[in-house]
This record gives sequence, structure tokens and C-alpha cells, in this order.
Amino acid sequence: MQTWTLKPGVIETDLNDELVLLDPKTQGMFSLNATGRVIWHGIKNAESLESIAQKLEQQFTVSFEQAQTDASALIGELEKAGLIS
Amino acid sequence: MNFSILGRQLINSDPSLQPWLELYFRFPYEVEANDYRIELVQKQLPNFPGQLPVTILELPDTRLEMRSLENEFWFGRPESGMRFTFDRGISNLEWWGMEIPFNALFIGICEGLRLSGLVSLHASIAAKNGLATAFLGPSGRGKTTTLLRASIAGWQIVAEDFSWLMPETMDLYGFDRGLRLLPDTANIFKQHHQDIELLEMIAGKYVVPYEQLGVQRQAVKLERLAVLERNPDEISSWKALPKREGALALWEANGVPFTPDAQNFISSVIPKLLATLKLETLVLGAGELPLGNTELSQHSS
Repeated sequence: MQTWTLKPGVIETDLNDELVLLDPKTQGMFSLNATGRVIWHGIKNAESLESIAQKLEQQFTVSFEQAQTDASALIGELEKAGLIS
Repeated sequence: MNFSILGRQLINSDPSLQPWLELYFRFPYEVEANDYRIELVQKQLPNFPGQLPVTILELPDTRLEMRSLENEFWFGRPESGMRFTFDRGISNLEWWGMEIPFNALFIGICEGLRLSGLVSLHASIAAKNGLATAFLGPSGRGKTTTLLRASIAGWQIVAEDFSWLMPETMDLYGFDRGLRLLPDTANIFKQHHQDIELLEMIAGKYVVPYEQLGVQRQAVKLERLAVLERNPDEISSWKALPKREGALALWEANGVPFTPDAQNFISSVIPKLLATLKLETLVLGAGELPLGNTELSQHSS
């Protein structure tokens, strides 16, 4: 089961309608909407892609397959931004 | 040699530090006393943990090594440095070395002030009718020039570079002592303030003490964040600022604290500030800056 590791030091700022992630070393910023917030918390809880997709399916009007695609895309972006590995 | 920094007690027993402490941290603001203490003590060389991983802190004019071990933060090197520890209600700064580690002490005192509930702002601040706007942006974006233009337009200068905010009241206190102006800027400013004297120059900039400008040492209410954006293709104007951009600007203006406790504090305060303050972008473009009364109230978040 693949899980991800957060980059140490990443700072979260919760603006209610979005969650802002900041990497103080690079000053890189990433903004997450409600869906992204669920995915981020799944990553923090060392959940698998399937588990995260199940949560998205339960909380939003989306199929499991679409949820997996969306989560996978965001995880890829977070990896590219260096916020997770 | 103790004194109050916005109600927090700074405790120092070393006379050699006192002039520097007073220059950077002693300002005549009347603020209710607070139980928080920041204590500076000179020590013999401690058992320096050189084996710990190093984080390099990039400061405006130097770099500083930091090592951390749980709630101990070590700055500098065995020959000159500081150990920062903290507990409820107190920050301890133990320093050593023939050469006083001023940069580390400055960072440590600022961290103590954050742990006591204050937010620092590296920004130019100007006020009108007691309500302040913080002009934010990276170095070179035009903060000082905008401050001068605001001053010429009748605003009150609060701070050119550094201030402290009490987030529960939005009271803002300037914590610098004068303008530092490049020669060209200084000469233009002097055309509008003919009574100022350009006497002292430090690091290529004229220093104009606030006393010459009649700057009042009193709290102002922070009302607005204005992130500066250079765009010569646009007319100078105010635009609404997205909250996420405001969050980034506040992190940049405050600096990221080195203790998790202060990081959590700032993380919790920034959303409240963004919900309270007017958030705007000030486009530094073509034409005069819109610093008159009418333009100032066009946008609000």
C-alpha cells in the first residue's frame, strides 16, 4: 500500500474556504479547496489512494473512479511542488 | 537594565548589550504590563551540539546557522552564539562569545515576542485618521517609495520597515527610528519636506530620523493590507486581493518563526487578520498613486 510523507516544516493556514500550504524554505504556496483538504488530510493520516478516494466518494457527488483520478492528480501536483514524497 | 517591550519584560544583566537593546526594542509606548518575560543571560561556552543537523537562516545581510534539539534552538557557532529555550510565560536567551551575537539575539527576542502573542510586520506603515495601511512586498518592490508618496499626500508615517501588531486589538506600533533613503529618493523627498536635513548616511542611504518628520509614537489601528504590485502597463489603482495572497504576504511580512509554538500561533492568527482587515493590491503603475481619500475606500474585502 503506497502512502506519502509530508515535507517537514510545511505550514498550514486554514482560511475556512481554502487551506493554504506554505513551504517556508522555498516560499512556495499551494491552495487547497474542500476536495483538496480531504485529500491532504488523507495523506497526513498515511492513507492509501483507495482510502482517500472512498472518502471523496462519500463526501462529494463523485464516482469512486473519478475520485481516484482526482486524488491521484492532486497528489502528483503536491509531489511536484515538493510538499510530499 | 530591564525595560518593557509593549508590556513584556526584557531582562538583561549585561551593560554591553544595553545600548543595542534600547536602540532596537525600547520605544515609549504606553501599554498595559504583561507577565511575559524575555531573559538574556551571558554564559560560558556551553556544550555546543555541533553534531546536530544545521539549518541556514538567510538574513538580510548575513546567514546564521541554527540547530535544534526538541525545544532547544542553537544559533551561531561555538565561538559566538545563542541558545533559545522557552516555557510558559518566558523565553530564555543564553549567549556566549567575545563577539556579541547580535543577529541571533534579535531573532531570539523577536521569537519571544511572538510567543507572547505579538505579530511582527516587515512593512511600510502609513496612517490616515488613526487607521493604518501596511504596504507589503518583497525588498525592492517599492514599500519605502510608497510610504513617502503617502506622506506627501498627507498620511502619517508609522514605520518604514518594522512594526509589531497586537492581533486582539489590531493596535500597531512602529519599531524603527527613521527613514533610510537612497540619495535620489532623499532629494525628491526633500523637495516636499524642505525642513529635513540629510546629514547621516549609512550603507549608502540617508537616514532621516522620525523626530525631523514629527512622527508620533502612538498606537494606530491596522485597517488594511496593501500588497504592492509593479505593473507599468496599468494605471495605478487599488484592486481586491485574494485571501490566499494575503496569507502569503502576511507570512512573508512576519517571517516564519523557528519554534513550532510560534508557528502555530501565527497560523491561527493569520486567518483572523484576513477576516478583519481590508485586503487590497496597490498597483504601482502609470500615473499618480491613488492615495487620496476617495480612492482609499473604493475596495473592501
